[in-house]
Amino acid sequence: MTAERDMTRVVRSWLRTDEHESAARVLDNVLAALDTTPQRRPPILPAWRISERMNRYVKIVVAAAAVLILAVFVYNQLPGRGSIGGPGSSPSPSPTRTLAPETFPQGALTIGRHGMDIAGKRLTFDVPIEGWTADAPYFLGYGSIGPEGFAAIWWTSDAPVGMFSDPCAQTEAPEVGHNRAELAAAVVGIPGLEEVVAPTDVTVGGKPATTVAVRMPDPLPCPKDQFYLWHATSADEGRFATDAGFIIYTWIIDVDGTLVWVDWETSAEPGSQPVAQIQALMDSIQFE
Amino acid sequence: MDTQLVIRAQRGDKGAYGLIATEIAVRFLAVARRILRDIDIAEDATQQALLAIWQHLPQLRDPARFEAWSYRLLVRACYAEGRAERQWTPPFRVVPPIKERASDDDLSSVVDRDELERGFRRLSIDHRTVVVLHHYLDLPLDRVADIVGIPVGTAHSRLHHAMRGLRAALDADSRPPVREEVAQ
Repeated sequence: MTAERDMTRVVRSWLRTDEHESAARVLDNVLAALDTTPQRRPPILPAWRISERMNRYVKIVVAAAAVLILAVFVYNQLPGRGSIGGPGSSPSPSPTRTLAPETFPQGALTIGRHGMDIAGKRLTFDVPIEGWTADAPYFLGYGSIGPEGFAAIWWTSDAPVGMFSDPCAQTEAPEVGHNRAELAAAVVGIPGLEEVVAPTDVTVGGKPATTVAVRMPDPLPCPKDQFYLWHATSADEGRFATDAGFIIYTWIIDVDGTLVWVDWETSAEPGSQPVAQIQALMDSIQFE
Repeated sequence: MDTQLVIRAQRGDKGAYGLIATEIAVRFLAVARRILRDIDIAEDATQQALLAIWQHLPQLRDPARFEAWSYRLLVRACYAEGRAERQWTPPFRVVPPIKERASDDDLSSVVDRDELERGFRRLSIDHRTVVVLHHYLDLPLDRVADIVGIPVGTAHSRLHHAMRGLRAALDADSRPPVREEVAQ
């Protein structure tokens, strides 16, 4: 019995750790969807039947009332209609992501050349086959992320400036120089990550770049959305792990003194077909 | 929950429902996340549940029963999202404040947390739901059974099975490694 109580205490304690959910994003979506989500009214079922002996006058009144109820019902379903009792107070809007809405592709991408603005720099790239999708302002992907699919985070406003020295505690590491070499070295220095590709100097679109790849721990020592890796200015926007064991392939490109940063993520290993597709897209990049 | 607010929302008052959603969203997300063990899926489930509540609110006969009724819709949404094929969502958001950790008295080590996590993930969503509603929300098992839509006896059985599974996960970790016998 004591052991049972201990187990209950441990489970309760465990369930109560990491209580830091922010529902801001969910609330934004729900409140925005209310205008286009009609309520479903219960069907109006007669609790009684009009008696055959009911006189004609009563039948007319009942029919008129039914028509009136139906009209009110339809009226209330019209977009923008509020409550019968008058408008209620609206909750104040929740804070949303602060990334600037740069020019970025959206939706399914056609085969051919596409463009995007990253950190104030314009670049174009080739989409060789169908199946690529984009979601402004930062997402580009192919298929479902995993052994055959992959996706990228493009840091559209500005490149990350620092890492987390304790990913689960979200403790910021001391700042490093804002240049390719030091940032790439800092990526592989994040505790718990396995170096898959050491920092390597390459060129992307004719610009000097550094690429590096790291594998997430498996299992992750904390929930994946609390395992933070790197962050933009002031740590107000951070990137966390997608899943245990996944590999992040990062390119840091120096475009005339401005850093352009992209993280590709997949569970595919270097040399695999998905990674070759990522490389082909990176090779097709041109800066304007 | 303010019953008058529920009644106003039932009549189509979006402002009133906005207040309700704001009040319950964080708790719903916390429950969904603990059942589903994935923040992205939990956010989807919470969103689905909040919209389903808005849609079906006029059909709620007794506004005083809003809480139990709304949890029922959340559990349904968790079941649906937990079984749906997933699309990737970007792992990217504002960094939360430094969190508080459980004390060593409550939870002995990181190893325990890892083993509990693994053991919990091995449970079916039916079992995880009962554990979360009972041990996280502190709901008595008859109310858990009402929300999930199962007999009280089944709720007891699921809780017992789940706790046994979690205990086995912890015991397996604390057991010393077995030495192989070498044939003479």
